[in-house]
Amino acid sequence: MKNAQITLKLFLDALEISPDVTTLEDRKKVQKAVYIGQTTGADLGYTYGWYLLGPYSPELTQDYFTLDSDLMTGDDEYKIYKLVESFSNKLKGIRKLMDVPPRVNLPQEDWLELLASIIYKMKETNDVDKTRKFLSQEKPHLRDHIDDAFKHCGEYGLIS
Amino acid sequence: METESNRINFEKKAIHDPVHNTINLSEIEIKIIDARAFQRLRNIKQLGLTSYVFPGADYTRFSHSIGVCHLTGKLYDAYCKAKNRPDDIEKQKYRLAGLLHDIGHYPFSHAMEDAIKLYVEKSHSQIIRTDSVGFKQFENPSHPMRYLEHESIGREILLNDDEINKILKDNEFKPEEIYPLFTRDGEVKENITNFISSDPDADRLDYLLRSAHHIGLPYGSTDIEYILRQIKIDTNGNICIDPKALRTVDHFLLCRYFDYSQVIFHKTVAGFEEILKRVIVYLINKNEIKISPENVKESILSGIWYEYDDAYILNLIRIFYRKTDTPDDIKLMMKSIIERKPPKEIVKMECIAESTKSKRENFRAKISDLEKLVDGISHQFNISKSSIFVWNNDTFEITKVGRMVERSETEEDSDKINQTVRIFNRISERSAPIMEREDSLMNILSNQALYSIRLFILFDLDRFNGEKSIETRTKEIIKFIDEKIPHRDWK
Repeated sequence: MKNAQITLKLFLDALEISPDVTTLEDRKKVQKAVYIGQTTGADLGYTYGWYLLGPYSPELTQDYFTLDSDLMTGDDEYKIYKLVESFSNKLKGIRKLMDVPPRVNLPQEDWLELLASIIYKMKETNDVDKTRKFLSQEKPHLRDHIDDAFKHCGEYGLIS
Repeated sequence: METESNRINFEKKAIHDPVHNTINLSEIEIKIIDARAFQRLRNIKQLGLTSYVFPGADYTRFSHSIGVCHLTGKLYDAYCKAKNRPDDIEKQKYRLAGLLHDIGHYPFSHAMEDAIKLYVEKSHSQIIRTDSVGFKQFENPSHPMRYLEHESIGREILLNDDEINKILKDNEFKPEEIYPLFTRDGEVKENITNFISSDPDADRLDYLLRSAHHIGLPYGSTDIEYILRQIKIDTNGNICIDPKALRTVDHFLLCRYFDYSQVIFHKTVAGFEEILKRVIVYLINKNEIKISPENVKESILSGIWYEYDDAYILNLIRIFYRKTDTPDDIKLMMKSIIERKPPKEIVKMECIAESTKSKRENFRAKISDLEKLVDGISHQFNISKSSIFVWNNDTFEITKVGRMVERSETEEDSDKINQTVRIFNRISERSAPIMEREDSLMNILSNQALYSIRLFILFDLDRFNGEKSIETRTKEIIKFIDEKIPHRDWK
């Protein structure tokens, strides 16, 4: 297992996100969790662009398919590693953000898509109204939960 | 529903291509081809330094990209014929994605991208070992280096290059609709994105056909017209191939194996590419090649990116070769590239075996054994350590998805399944990945991989000409290796 795969596995473990990437929903969860994690300063070095379902990194895609392949062949080298403490602490700080709040009736991958999209668009525009309008248009299935997601991002200091 | 207003003339201009004969282009495609970002591809060889061995392998990403545009259109037409749903706008998007799929390639194509990945991988880590070795922290844990793969640079070009951006927008296409099709956006459910990147994709088809044509080897002679005629849509909407073409698809998938093993992994090609990667890493360390996403974006905006081609890097190598403060071992590598002085393959170990954890561990152990000998060879034969290198092919699976499909076989939504060729079942009218068919060669071979390890030495010819001949020295080194690691099947 290469460093990139070991780090990614430990990163996802810290956020309690499964590294299984079989389905579209699995992959979306991993993409958005890493994006949100990086926003807090736990930076793995992945570069994100705006795609159909929000922030997406082709470089991460390569790495998680390789990780999936490593795990499938029984490679467990990651077990003799741990994350450096400062990094691990940053992830602990946002672990709970990954959980869908009880009042939000969305699967976890959709919740993470919404959070990640808000963070990305706010960085781009620094304008709450514009971001809200854009997401309402582009993601009508998530429209009802935009306020909750904004609130969460604010509470965790992910948007200014 | 197709209306008169959204019809597109895909035959605005015809150009001649040695592989596909006539290629017809639409107006927007002609404009894109004329843009400076696309013209840059004329100066980037598809196969890097492969032409040092196969003189005909000097075709560029320019002709390949036009070929991929053409084949993507043909795949789309076959798909629409099977689905009875023609849509010129959608077809144009896919053809544009095919045309633009390589627009972000680095100079020397994959050699440079691999060098950058190597540099980044070594430059940072956020992990520490907790086993008996003790707590070993990797260097520079808090500042990960970023880089962009060529598909992501393509995205940045579509978003930030004035000319390309304007052409797309003037024709009512958004960049955001095009780049996810060639970056293989893993979050797109529709499997027609696989026209550009999968086992049976337009990229691979054009590459194999074009390489076979230019190099003169027969490995890419695929009956593409027959495959296209056999495209079907199953009851779940998957693109698949009629079982009549099963043998043709098996043959196509094997072509890739033969092409890689005979061309890409050719000993001299592999040796030159390895040296080029090391030289590029040296130039990155000297800050002569800037790889951060911010630098790439800036160079796209300023236009510097369009001078950034094979000749630019080769010129940089020439400049540093002449510099008095460039270390001798790096100069030797630079000379190797400038004057085509290949490294010598000393030993090779190669096998085809299952792609399993134990085989891969065994493979890594063999690489490690050989790497441990580098110091000894350097000391014993008075050769600089940096001139001795162990190359490996990182295992090469015969199909793009290999064994990945096995676990996902019940998961209809699997992106990995979508990346492989599916074969139609005439009874159930569903389809299954080719490797699940007992009558296919891929049923046996998809789980197999080629494992290849080599030890190369870049001899300083000026020095060794006056000493023992290189042949004599090579025999002594082989004997030395065989004594230290006996019972290995060196070839």
